[in-house]
Amino acid sequence: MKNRGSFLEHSIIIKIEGFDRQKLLTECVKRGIIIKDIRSVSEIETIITLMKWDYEQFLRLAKNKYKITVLKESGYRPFIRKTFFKKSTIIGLLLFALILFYQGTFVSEIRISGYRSYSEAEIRDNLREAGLYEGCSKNVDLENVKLHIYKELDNIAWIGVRYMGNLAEVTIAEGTITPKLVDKSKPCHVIAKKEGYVENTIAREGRIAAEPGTYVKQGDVLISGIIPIASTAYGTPASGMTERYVHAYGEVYAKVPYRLFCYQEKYNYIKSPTGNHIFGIRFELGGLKINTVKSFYKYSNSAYTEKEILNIIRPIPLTLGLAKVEEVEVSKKEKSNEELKKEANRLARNIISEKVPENAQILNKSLSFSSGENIIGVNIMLETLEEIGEKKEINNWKHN
Amino acid sequence: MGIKDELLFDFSIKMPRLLISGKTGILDNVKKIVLVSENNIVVDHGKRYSSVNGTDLCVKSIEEERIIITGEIYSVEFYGNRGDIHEE
Repeated sequence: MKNRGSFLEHSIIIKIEGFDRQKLLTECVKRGIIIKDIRSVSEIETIITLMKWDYEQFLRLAKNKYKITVLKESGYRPFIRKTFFKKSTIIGLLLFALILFYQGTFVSEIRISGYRSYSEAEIRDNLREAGLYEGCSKNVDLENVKLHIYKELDNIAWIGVRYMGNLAEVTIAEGTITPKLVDKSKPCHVIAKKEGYVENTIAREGRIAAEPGTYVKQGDVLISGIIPIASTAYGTPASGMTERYVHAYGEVYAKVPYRLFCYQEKYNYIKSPTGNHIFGIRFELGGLKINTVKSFYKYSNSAYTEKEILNIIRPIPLTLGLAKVEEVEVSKKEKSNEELKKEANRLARNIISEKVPENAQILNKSLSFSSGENIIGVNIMLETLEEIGEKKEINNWKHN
Repeated sequence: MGIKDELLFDFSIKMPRLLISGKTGILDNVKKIVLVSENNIVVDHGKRYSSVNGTDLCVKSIEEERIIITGEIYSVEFYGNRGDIHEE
């Protein structure tokens, strides 16, 4: 048997029209042409399948006695030829490759691990500020990103950013700033960690050093770990001892005053639309950012609004939005006393939540205002009750 | 079958040799195709002819003096040179 490939490789289905088609088939058998699927369609038509390599020889045998029509070509060779030699296929493949390549130049996902005290959202926000966000180019300077994070977030011991394909893996190691605990076997004082008026002291071990009502500054001893003793061990070396050292502990509550200051606008600014507006399109493709509104912007005062139509990251980061810039006239109106108080209270709540410890109890709060040209200063006076004691080891102590 | 008969059978290259099973038939020692139609396929084996009758008959392949036929096969006929007919 001749080895000329197989029907799977390249075969053709042909229609033979004419008389005495059997003679042609007999000739093919004699010449070793392999024929498949011989089907008699009518008195003068027969459909056969043969391999492409035998087709030339088959035509020579058929001469001009028969009408030969190729109905179909099959097999993987013509399939590949048809598929890969079409212009549209080549363009499609090139486009596909281009999209794949282009997609590979963007960060499609950011995975953050190792954070404890910060929330993932906080870290993501800071990464975004530094230029690393889902959809950004991979060309972003990672060193700058790291520096930004070190700068913006406290207590970051180490940050690592690496790309795994389109995934940016951010690993964060937070430093530990837990207060240094004093070993229970070692003597210590309880000292004030902030200034205030002592309200109540519960000394579970040690001697009270700051009575209620005393004003203490940071570092002052509140419960002393040095207890004076009157030794009765006469005639022994221990008779010379006048004090003993203990591991003082307990709770010291103090009234802590706070003076906080913030500003608020004196006027409410009202934006009244004039009726003039322009529409535009914001288009972002990876690093390419186009906003047609910005190009035709012509108003001195305006309000920008946008409706996002499309925002995808895969297969390529693409954002499309309909933007509107509306011309506005800005007028100002002085805030009423009620509005000022309401705003001042809101500011006070924010600033208190930032500056005052969570477990502090607010005893008194007063707000006072000082008027400037365009702003109003809000003076917040606070008095809180909070625990101010912390342990501090006694240095240079002598063993009892 | 004796050895002599077997040898004669093997070397009878101009005689029909058929294997019919279900909807498939294999015809060996094919020297010439006489007729191919939906209901009848007739081949010449050299010394004798054989005819396969049925419906939807199709020659699946022809190679090396062997024809494979598929379809609903009803009967097989052999024609001798002298015109005598045997049907099986």
